[in-house]
Amino acid sequence: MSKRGQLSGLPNSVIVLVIAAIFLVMGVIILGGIQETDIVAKSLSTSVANETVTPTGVAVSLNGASACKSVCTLGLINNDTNDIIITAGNYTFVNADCTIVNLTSEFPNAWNVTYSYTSGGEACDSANLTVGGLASFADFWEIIVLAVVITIVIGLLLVVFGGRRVR
Amino acid sequence: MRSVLKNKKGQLGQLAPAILTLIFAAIVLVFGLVMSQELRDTQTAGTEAYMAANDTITGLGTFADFWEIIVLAVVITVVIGLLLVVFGGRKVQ
Repeated sequence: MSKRGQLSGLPNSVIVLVIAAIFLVMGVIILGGIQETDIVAKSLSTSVANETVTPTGVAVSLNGASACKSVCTLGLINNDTNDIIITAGNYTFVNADCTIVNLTSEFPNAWNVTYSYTSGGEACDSANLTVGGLASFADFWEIIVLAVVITIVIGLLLVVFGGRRVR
Repeated sequence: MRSVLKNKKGQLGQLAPAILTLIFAAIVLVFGLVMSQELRDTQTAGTEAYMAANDTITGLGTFADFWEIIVLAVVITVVIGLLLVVFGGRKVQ
C-alpha cells in the first residue's frame, strides 16, 4: 500500500515538472519578444565617422557590434593610406553583425569606415541578462528530475527495507 | 506515508509558481527599465533630472546580473527540499 503510495506521486511529479517547464519556456519566449521590440532594441541611433579598421579575409567587427542588438548601416569606406573610396565589390558588409570582410588584396592596410547603427540602451542590456539568467534554469532540469527520481526510488526502497514505518 | 508524499508534492509544487514569479518579476523589471529609459530621454542630458533617471536605470539594471543566482537558489530549495524528505530522517509535516 505504501509502495503504491510512493509510485502514485510519480504522475503528479511529472505533471508539475512539465507545467513548470512550459511556464519557463513561455516566459523566456515572452521576454525574448519584449527584447526584440523597437523600443528596447532600437532606442539609440549612433553615427560613427572614420572608424579605423584593418579588414582581412575573415569578418572584422566594428565598434558598433558591441552595442546591444546593434544593426549597422554602412556609409562610406576610405582607404586610410591614400583616402581613396573603396567600392562595394572589395568588401562584404553584414548589417546585422556590424562586420566587414576584405574580399580583395588591393587594399590590405587600414580602412576608415563611416557608418551608423541603431542599438538598445540599458533596458536592452538588462533584458539580455534577464533572458540569459532565466534561461539558465534550463540547465538544472536534469538535477531536478534526478532529485525526483531519487526521492521516489529511495522512498520505495525505504518502505521495503527501512525497517520502520514511515508515516 | 501520506504526509511524506504530501510533503514531497508540496516541495515540487513550489517549482511552477516559483518560475511564474521569476518570469513576472523579469517582465516587470524589463518594462520598468524601458519606462525609466523613456522618461530619462524626455529630459535634457546633463540636467539633475536626467542624471537621477540615469543613475536609477543603472541601479535597477544591476538586478539583471543576479538572475542566475536567484534561479540557483530556487533550484537548490526544490532539490534539497525533495532530498530532505527521504534523507532527512525525521517526519516533516
